[in-house]
Amino acid sequence: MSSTNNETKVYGMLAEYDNADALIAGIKKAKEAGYTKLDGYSPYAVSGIADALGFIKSEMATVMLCGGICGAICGFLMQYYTNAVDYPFNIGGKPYNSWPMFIPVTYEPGILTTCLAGVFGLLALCGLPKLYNPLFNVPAFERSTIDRFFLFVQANDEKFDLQATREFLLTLNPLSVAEVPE
Amino acid sequence: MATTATIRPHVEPQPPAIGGNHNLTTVTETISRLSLDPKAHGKPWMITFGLGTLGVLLFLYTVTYLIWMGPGIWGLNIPTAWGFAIINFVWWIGIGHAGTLISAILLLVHQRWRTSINRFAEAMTIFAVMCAGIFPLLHTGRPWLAYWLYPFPNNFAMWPQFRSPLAWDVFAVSTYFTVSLVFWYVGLIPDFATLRDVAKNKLQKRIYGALSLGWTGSAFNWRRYEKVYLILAGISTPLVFSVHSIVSFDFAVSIVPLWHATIFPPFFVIGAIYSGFAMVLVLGIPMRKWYKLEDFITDWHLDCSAKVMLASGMMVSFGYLCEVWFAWYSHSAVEWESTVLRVWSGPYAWSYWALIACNFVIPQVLWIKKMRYNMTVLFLISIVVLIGMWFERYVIVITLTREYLPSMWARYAPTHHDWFIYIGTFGIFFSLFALFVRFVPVISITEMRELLPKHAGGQDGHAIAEGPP
Amino acid sequence: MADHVSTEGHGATDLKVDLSSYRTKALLVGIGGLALFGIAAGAMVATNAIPTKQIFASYSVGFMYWVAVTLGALFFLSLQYLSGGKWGILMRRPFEAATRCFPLLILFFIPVAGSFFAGKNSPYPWAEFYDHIQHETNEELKKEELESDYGRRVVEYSNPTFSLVRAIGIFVILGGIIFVLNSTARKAEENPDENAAADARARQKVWGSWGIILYALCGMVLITDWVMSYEKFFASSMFPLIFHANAMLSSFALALLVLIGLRNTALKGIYHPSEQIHLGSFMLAMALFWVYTTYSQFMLVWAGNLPEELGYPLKRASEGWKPIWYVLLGLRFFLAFGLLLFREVKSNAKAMRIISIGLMCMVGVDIFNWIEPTFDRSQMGYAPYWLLDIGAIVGLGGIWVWYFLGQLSKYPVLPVREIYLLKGHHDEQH
Repeated sequence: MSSTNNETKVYGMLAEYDNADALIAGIKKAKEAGYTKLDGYSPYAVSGIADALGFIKSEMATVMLCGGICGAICGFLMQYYTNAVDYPFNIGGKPYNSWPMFIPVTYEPGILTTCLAGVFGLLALCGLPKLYNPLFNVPAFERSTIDRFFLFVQANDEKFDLQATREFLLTLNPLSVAEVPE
Repeated sequence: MATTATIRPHVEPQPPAIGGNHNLTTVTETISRLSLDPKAHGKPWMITFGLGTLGVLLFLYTVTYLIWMGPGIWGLNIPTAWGFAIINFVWWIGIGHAGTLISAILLLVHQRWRTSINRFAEAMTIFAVMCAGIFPLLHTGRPWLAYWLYPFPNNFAMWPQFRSPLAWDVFAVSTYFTVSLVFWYVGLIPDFATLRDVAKNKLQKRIYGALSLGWTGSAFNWRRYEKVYLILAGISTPLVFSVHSIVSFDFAVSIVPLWHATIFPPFFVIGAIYSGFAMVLVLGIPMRKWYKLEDFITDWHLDCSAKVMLASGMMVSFGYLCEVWFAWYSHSAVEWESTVLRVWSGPYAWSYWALIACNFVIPQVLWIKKMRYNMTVLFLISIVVLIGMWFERYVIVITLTREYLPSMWARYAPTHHDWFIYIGTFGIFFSLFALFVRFVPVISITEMRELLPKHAGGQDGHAIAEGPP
Repeated sequence: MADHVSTEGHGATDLKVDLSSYRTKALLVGIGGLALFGIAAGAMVATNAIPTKQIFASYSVGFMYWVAVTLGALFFLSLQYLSGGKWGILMRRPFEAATRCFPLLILFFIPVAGSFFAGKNSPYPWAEFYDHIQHETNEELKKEELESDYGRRVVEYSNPTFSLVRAIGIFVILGGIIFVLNSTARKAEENPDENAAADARARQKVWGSWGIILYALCGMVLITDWVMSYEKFFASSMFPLIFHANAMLSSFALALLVLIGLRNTALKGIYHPSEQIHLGSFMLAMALFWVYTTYSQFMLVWAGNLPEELGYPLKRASEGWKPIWYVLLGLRFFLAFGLLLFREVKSNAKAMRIISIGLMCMVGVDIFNWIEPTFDRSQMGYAPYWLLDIGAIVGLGGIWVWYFLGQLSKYPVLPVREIYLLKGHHDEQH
């Protein structure tokens, strides 16, 4: 996929590695060289890659915590409103606001919304579902989910230049370098 | 200190979590082949799926008849208004819990042996919860009105009654099902992406591509993904406890003798884990044999599961002791007489001893290491435990045949329709499980890669378990 | 890696610690606590502000607290021998030392045993009932009382002599298993003969499982006899688990305090913040377990609304006692939960020290809440009887800690033969 066609727009440039450590080293060098819009692809989670990219802490914990708190509060208020305000009904002489018995349905919606906030937050932040991705145009990239590791430089990086970036990436000892057509 | 100077640390390495000589490529191939290549599935699969489908047919027939005739075709009566329906509900949902336990709790406590069994255990959870949900649904008598269980604005101006554990159950079980499904699916996304890229066939590529939602394995996405997965594990753990505790509240909130016991919540939870691990072994032992997965599901994995099963069995047995002990200690006439009827003089005392034999006596064999490594024995004991845990719920439900007044005394016997529906749910469970084995990676490919040694391209362990910052 | 655990150079002798200055302080605190207990008891009884049974009750709060710590350590030690795991390599020595404080419990038990026989001065309703029956002259009334549900229980089970026999049985059984666990540990660690040591390690697993089983059985009887019987009719099968939740939490917090205290000396380079995060998460789970068991018991009793059980929560929810629930719920659950969720907190040694001490105090509050609200104090005025409880916990605690630190400094603070497990972990991290 190294054939260059000047007429197609370029999405970025990929460098292929066969192990995570080489990729991490490559990312570090690319950062030193001043590239900012980088990404690393690996077949399984390698924390060193995200660290090297400078994405130390993800936002997910906050998202899920907020989701959970909202769910729990709504769960309790729902029971309070339905059983103590809108339709008060004497059951076994228990008070209308039987809070000890409202805890299970406070807890469960809390868990449910934590979970849903997590998964929908994850999809939204990762931009998924995204069934078309220019990266899939590179046949070698198929192995990114099998046994290869890729360094990716986006075309909208300020330092990106078709020729210079290719030459730079080749200095990082990849197995191969490929352009990604848009 | 001459003596201490001679002491050297002994090194007793943990058994490897992956046997054989694997690397990133072979792990991917071995596992993905099961989903992509129809030839990977032979006669055992056909038999499982075939029998499962027959069970589904039996189920469909009986349910149709049930809806036509009403729950009167069951052996229910007053006072035993909760017969097989609740026994089987609790039994199935209990089985589900081990799946969540394996994926979530063992992840949190850094047990490497969880990784190759968590996927199918989670699938087991989902199918078991589906089977469980059917029973209360049918037990409502008019299942087409089941949405009344949820609070929705309606023109009767009525709301569910949240002081009833049955209303809690609706929320607990539906939350549990949703969270289990989401947890399972989130775990599957990277594996679907792998299948998408491994598949040669266009249709497979499309389908798995759509299921993977376009996952690429970007480091940014992985970091978020790991955090979500870890927190999902973190919330699933208390979820398991809460769900089965709420199931136990169905009984314990009432003041029926022997039901109103404060120990019920943890006692039910541990019983659920017990039966769930038994089901994991019942599924895992034949599966690894038929699909030659011994490198991934090693003897060590099964040994660990057997140990957990034994430990939870001991705790369940402690629960039986607590029940009897406190019934006696309280010197409450009702409690103690009900206990005597249950264990000795009542018409169903045989079932109590069946329970003790299955859940306490026979599993003691597992103390012997040789027996834990003997697959036939382990398989049989797991089945015994499943039967025992069914009897546990039977013993509890059957208490209804003797309440306070002679007017509440009756006998209970299931009819053949009770049995048909119960057998039918096995059909649903096994046919769904067969479909799962056919189309979905039965072992998490992604996580197995992490477990590989460093020289084979892995990370020597599980990154999620150590926890990203 | 400079901070590597070098098992070659880092010999067993280096891992021994000198704690004598802490021991002296602990002993002084203990004497201070007992003095507070003695003076307050003397002053309040002399002025008739409190009845004698209050002294026994307050003493048993202190006693139960240290029973919980010691038995929690027995549980964790057995669990560690049985299942292994890195957390236990670090915590094994503190737990071993804590179980070896068991003889002290026997000593501490003497006044409690005395209270069994204190007749109408006994805080236990069954002891009072038993005494009352002995002195009942009206035969008909006596017969009637003996045939009541409670009377039958006292005759068959909850009478002073049989209670003492059971207590002795518990001490023999638990003392025996503690002795066996510790002596096996010594063999596994210090026997220079590798084969004999390997044998001992294999036996540790067996004894570990016995440890848990005996702990569970004895704990059930013990908590019924010594605490639950304070309430005349209350019988809750969850109660042993609530005791267990407290025992686990208090002993775990204590072991964590030891690790934190030694982090810059004997455990330098071995005890990392990453270990502490795991231990902190463990503690979070225990905080959750406590709220789970306590809530379940409360809700089920509240929902059941049965007269024989309802007294227990009603007394504790009545005016004056309510704030204890708020303290427990707020500090022990919400605050601990809120703090321990964060890795930043869990990796911070000072924060974890405060949380551990705080949780140990909360265990004390919970035990106080089991016992003290039982008594009707409407006639008692506002005597600060709780000073006795504090005095008992601190006084017995000072002596207990003094002895504990002595036991801790007897052996290396880490099991030398098992250190490789930590080392392996260390490698994985880098």
